[in-house]
Amino acid sequence: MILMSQKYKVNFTVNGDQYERYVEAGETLASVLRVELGLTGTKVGCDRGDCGACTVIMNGKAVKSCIIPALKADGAEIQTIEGVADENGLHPIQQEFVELAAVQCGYCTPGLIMASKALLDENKNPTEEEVREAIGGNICRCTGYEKPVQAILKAAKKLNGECL
Amino acid sequence: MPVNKYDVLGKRLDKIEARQKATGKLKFTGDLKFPGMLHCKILRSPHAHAIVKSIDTSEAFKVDGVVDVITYEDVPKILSMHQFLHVPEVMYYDSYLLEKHVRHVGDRVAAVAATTEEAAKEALKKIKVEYEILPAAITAEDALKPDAAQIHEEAKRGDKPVELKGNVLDTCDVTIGDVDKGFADADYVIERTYRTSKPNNGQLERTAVVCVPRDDGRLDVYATSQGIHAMRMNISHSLGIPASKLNCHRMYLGGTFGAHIHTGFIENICAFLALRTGRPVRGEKTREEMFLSCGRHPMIVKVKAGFTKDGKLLALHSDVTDDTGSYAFSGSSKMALTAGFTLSMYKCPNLRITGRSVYTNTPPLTAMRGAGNPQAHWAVENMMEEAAEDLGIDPIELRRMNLLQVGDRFFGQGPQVISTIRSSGNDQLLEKGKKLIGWDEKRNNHIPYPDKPWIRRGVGMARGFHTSGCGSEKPNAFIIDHSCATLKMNEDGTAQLMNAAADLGAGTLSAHASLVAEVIGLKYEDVIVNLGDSDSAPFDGPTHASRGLYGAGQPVVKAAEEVKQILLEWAARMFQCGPEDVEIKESKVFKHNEPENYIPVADVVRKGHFSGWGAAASTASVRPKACPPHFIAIFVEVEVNTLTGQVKVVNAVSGVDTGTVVNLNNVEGQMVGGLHMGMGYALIEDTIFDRKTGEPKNASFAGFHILTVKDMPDPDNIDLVIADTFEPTGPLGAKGIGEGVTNPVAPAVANAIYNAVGVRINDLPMTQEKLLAKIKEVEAKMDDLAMTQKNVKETVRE
Amino acid sequence: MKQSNLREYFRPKTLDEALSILNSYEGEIKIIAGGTDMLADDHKEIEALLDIDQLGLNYIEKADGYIRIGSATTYTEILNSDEIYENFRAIWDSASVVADKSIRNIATIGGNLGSAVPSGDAIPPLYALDATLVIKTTTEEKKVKPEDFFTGPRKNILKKGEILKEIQIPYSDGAFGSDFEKIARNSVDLATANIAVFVKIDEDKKISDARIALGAVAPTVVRADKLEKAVIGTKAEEEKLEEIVKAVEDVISPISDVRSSADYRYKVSRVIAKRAIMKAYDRAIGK
Repeated sequence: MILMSQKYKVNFTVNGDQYERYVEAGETLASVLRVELGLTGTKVGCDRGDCGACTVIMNGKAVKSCIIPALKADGAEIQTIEGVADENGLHPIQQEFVELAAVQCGYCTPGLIMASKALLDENKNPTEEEVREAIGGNICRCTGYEKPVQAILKAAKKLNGECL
Repeated sequence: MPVNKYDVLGKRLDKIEARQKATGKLKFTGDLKFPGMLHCKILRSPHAHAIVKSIDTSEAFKVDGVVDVITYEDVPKILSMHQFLHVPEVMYYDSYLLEKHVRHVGDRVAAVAATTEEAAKEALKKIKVEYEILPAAITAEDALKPDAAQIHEEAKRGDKPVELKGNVLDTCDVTIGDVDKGFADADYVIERTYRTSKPNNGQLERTAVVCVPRDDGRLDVYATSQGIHAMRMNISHSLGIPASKLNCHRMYLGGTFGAHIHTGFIENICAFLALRTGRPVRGEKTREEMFLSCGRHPMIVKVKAGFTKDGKLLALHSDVTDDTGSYAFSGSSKMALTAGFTLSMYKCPNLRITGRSVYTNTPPLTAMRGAGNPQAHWAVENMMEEAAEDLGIDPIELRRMNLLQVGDRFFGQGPQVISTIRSSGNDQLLEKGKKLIGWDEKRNNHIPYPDKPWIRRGVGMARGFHTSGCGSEKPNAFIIDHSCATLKMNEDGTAQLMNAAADLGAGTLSAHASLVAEVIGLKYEDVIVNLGDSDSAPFDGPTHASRGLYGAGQPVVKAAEEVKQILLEWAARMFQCGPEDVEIKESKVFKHNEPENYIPVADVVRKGHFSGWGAAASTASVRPKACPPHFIAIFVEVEVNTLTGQVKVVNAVSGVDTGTVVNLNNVEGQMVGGLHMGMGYALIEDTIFDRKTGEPKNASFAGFHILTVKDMPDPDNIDLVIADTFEPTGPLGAKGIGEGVTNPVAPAVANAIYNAVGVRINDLPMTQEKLLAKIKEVEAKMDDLAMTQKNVKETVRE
Repeated sequence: MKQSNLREYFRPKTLDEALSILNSYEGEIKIIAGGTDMLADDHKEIEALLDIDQLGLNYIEKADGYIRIGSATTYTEILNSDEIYENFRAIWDSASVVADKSIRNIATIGGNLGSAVPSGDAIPPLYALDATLVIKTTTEEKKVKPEDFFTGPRKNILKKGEILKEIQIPYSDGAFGSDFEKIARNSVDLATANIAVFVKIDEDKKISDARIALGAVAPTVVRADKLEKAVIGTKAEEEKLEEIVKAVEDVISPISDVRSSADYRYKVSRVIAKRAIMKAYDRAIGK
């Protein structure tokens, strides 16, 4: 890392695109994503790792980006909510969140989707217990979690090619 | 489920903005960015009660990037109000944008606008303030003491000064019937005191605002507000500028649950700074600041009820002491509502409410899902259960025999808001809920695991309601309840709705789109709802009181009917028949029974617009003439660990009577979400302030917990019941739902805990700690009893 | 949360490099691994961070008679280890209830020790399982017991120039079992009280050795030595334990805070002591 007028160079991949930015030592990953990169889909609800709205996938694992130092992400591969849908359309998790109305106010939604995508990326056939565990750090004030859990389980089935 | 005679309503439809939300594309207020935008930060008082003796901002101005610093000396000398619901004449005006007299830890002392957030924060550190610290009163009881410090010297109600006696903001005393006679005639009288806690709204989106000066000298305001016209009224008043100077934009909201039927000062301060600096100014509260500016009112509710020996309610008196915090955001109104709602729970001929709303040196409290009604439910539904036991009547039966029925008079938002009940699903909800929870089997079966006898199960229920809006048969000079909508057809056959109701996340705007599609006969996806702003949308009150669908939906239906009539007339000209001979379905117009020979709606609109027949558009305005209760019944089964006091809700039934279901997905979402929030209220949610210093003790989601997915019952163990009802005054038969679903949850959990372990906690939340202490108390008594009995037996033997 | 006064961020590749930065940096420098605890608040006093996530300190390795857990091993890595599940169950159990999964993906066991919060879930198991902590300086490797490592709430003996390198836990022979229990207000809360228990049993299935440590009920985690002695010779019979577990009250000195009163902590400490002893015992006898 090179120090440039109190700023450090950081390189990372976000949603497949390579970025190089100069950031302050104390900056968080959430802030760099939102302010520097304009990726405002990642929400900040508490800014201290309690609510999970800022969850992104870093090197294959779900993490709360508001408590990740931006410089810790140097060299990392990051995925945010903006990178989940592809040219074929919505990811099955997004599809099910929309169809089952697991999206209410939508503020916790990106975090919930990223936490559950990290789960389904490594475990194609999760139990309901594993789903609850994966989103146990994501506060939702609207849904009571019933529809998000159902949406994630249904998306898993879809990803496994099960006819629904 | 209602028999569905509709094409669009009652189905599971995607919300219009759901895709944008699920892909992260939807811009919430805090996501907006404008060139040259400044960031506002507020210097907050470290003391609960103090006078600013001196303040020096000179060093703050020197911080690189600082553009403006303001204190109480700089702000308009206009006493202002905060909330949006009531007519201005009954609202309380008791604050300035920034204060010399600060009244709670976190109160506003100064504000900075700077080019970066960091510079703004740095500048706050450089402001030198000297405080004269005053004695503080942190609870309503302390504030009511004769020697308590005076928290406000001046306040106005409308434009009339209020004579403040101590810290009492307002009182009420209303009697209906003859209460003394009612109690005298009663065979059984119960009197109890219940206390409620101070949960925080805890919406995930923090309060945010961006104010952007325009070239025409006006100001664009983007804010997390539940009502753009109300906010415009509020900001224009506090800044002393004409309302038309402001254009308030409708934004999708990340929750709120009542926190934003008031401005939280930061909106007004940013607007003021934007006008002063001529630059866009953005403000966003931190999570800690959220805990210093909103929450549900804690109350002490004393209930006295008189019954005949057969269980008929004869008299009810409820007395409410309301803690409004340091400003009257929704003080007075919440007192009146809580007291009023206790009268609306059951049919009773003799009623009295008394109450007082009290200032304290704690953050101002707001509305929070239920607007005083969760407090009323907590008191009445605990009391009903105790009365049922004393009277030897099944608790569901006692409730059933005292229900308000269709045709009965109903006190809606306080006793001034009177309407008549025209639909009720109460019987269906009680019957189905009882069956689904397994009431008869489970009421006397408490040991689920024979090898773990310390775990006890119990079932309990509570019922209740919330109003759908605030309409009354006669116009009232109390609360604003009037809605308007403009609908126009586009030449591609789409309909475009322009209205002002806020969507808090519940799907209100999607519901409006459904109403338009249903009424005209369009495809759901052919209806566009403009987010719009106060420049373009006609007047509406804020979205509160579960009125987003019921109230704001009524002019949508009316405008759609009028536009449909235009389309039918134009189509009739094209078909050369009468308008009564044609119909519209799935965006196609055809003569009855000849669907194959259709004209697309788009062609009809084009023909009409381009042939000079007119414009297919309408603006409708409606004053709802009722506020029908959406009735709710909640049944829960709990597991109580008698060794630790921990409670787990293992099964739940939520039953609603919401009239016509507009979108089944969204109704279910409200039901489970309401259950979740009510469970939090029941078990863990409370914000705690040091009784002496007023310092917040748990102003974060690490200290104030919201139940997680792991704290909820398994989705398979939650049953939802929707009554088959039709509300004649509602838009296509619909009623509200958003608030009722939370109101009875806490007492339902309390009643289940009582069934499980025979212990009742009258003050919320029912923490594991309080429960364990009470369980131990009861066990000790049982031991004493057992010992006495043993001694007696032994004595007899001797 | 942004660290407003942070000026420098070091992320060395080797332990030597890390130690030399620590020794030469003149201001307030703090070591982080996951950083989750640090970034939950704005630490205005901290001027520099030393991130040790690239030093290769995330490992779970069998050595001669003991297991080595690198201090930068995440809870998720611990939960993925069969070795820990089979032999050091109290650690696995505690890792499974720390915060939530997205925190466990990045928070480390060493971080929990460094923070030294009295309620840290990772800590009591280290007492109960007789762990040794290895501290590295430029000149030596010191070994300390947890009892000597923690000195108070959020305080430990680590001095500037020292890095917690690894945790060593001895394997047990014979029949043994361990357990971790926690009381909290909800699923993600810090512990109101927690406990770890390790027992060994003899041929008669009687407890022959016990180590019991309680957290969140004193300025540091405390060993319940009287209780340890009292359970020896028993078969963790419920009725006996009911009486015996009252001994925890001699060693704990809980405070009242926003989570709980001292009184509640007293009451539930006994409850979880009994529960954890019985579970550890059941595991020892293979139940």
